[in-house]
Amino acid sequence: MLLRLDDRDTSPLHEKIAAGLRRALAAGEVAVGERLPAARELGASLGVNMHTVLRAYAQLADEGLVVMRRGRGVTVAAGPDRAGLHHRIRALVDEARRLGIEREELVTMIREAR
Amino acid sequence: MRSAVTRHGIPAVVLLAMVVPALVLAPRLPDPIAVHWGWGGAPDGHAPWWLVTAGAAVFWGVAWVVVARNASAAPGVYGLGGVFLAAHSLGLWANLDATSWERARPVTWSLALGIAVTGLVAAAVGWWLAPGKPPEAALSGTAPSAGLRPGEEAVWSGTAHNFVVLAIAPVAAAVAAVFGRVGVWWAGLLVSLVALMFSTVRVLVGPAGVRVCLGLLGWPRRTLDYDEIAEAGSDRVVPLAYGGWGWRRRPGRTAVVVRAGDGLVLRLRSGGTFLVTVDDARTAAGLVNDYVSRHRSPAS
Repeated sequence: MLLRLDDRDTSPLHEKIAAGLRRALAAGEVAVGERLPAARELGASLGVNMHTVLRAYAQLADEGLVVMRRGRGVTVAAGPDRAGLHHRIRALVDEARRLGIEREELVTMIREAR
Repeated sequence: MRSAVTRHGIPAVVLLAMVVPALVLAPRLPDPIAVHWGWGGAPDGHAPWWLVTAGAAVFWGVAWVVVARNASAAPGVYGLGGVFLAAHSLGLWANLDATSWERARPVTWSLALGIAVTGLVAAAVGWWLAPGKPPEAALSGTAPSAGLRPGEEAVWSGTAHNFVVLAIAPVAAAVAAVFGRVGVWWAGLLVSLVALMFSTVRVLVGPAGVRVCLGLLGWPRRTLDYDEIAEAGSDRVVPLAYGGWGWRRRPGRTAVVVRAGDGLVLRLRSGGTFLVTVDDARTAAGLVNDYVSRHRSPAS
C-alpha cells in the first residue's frame, strides 16, 4: 500500500493521513480483511505521533472502511468502491467549504439532487 | 560446465550414493531396519529398508529440482544432501548384518555429530561451486521510482506471509499433541508457535527510513536510514540461496526471508546488501530510491 500525503492539503495532519489512506483503499491497494500497519509503526515511519495515526484510523472506522479491534489491529472492512465514495464525499465537503456553502445547505443540495 | 555439474552432476551422484548401497546391501539388512536411536544410543524406532531409501530418494529428488532450476540454491540444497547422505549411510552401517532391528549397532553422539559436520562441509562445497548470486544483478537496470513529488511525503507498507507455515503450524501442533509421547508434545507445540511467529514480515518505507518488522509481534525489527542505502531494487528470492528461511546474517549480507518470491533488495553504501521478502517490492524500491535521492540533495 502506497500512502501519499498531499503537500498542498492544508488540513490537520490526521486528516491528511486519513485522506491518504482513503485514496490507497479506493485504489484497491489493500484487500478487504487485510491488516493495515500498526499505528505505532506507521507513526514511527512517518515521524509522527502514534495518536495522530490512531485518529486517522478512528475516522476511517467511523466511515465503516476499517474495523479496529483491540489486540488484533486495524483490518480493511470495505472495498475500493465504498472508499472511493467516501473520498469524493470529503472532496465535496472541502469544495463546499471553499465556496462558503454552509454544511446544512450542502446536505439540502444533495437531498434535492436527482 | 561447472553449472551443469552443480545443477545435475552432483545431485545425481548423491542420489546414486543413497540408492545403490541400499540395494546392494539389502540382503544383509534386517527387515525392518532400525531408523531411530534413543538418547542412550540404543535403537528405538524401525521401518522397512525400502521405505527409508525411497523416502530419502523422493525428498532428494525435490531438492534436486530446486538446485536444477536455480544454481544459487546449491549451498542450502547440498547441506541438506550431505545430512541425508550421511544419515542414510550411517543407518545402513548400523543395521548391517544385524539379525533384527533391535540388535543394530548403537549410534552415539559423536556419530550423530558427524552427520551435522558432513552437512556443513557439503554446504561449503555448494558455496564454493555456486557463490551466492549477488543481488546487485537485479539493480543493473534503471532504478525504479514511485514518482514522489518534491515536498510530498509518502509511506509504503507491505507484508509477506508464509501461508504454508500458517496452515501447517496448528496441524503439526495438534499431531504432536495427539501422537507424541508425554514430554514431547510441548516441544512440537513450541516449534509450531515459533514457526508461526516468524511466518510473516511487514516492511514500512517512509520519511524516517526503511522499517522491517518480523513476526506477529513485530520483533525483531530493524530500521535502515537513507544515509546507509545506496540504491534499491526488487528481485525473485529463492530461500535456499540465502541459507533458508528466517533472519539470515552473513558478512555484508542480511536477508529476511519468510517465503519464496518477490523481495526488496537494498544495496548499502557500506558495500553490503539487505534483502527482505515482501509483496509488490518494486513499488517499495521506487519509494526508497525517491527518498535516497531526496536525502542526497536536500535542497530540492
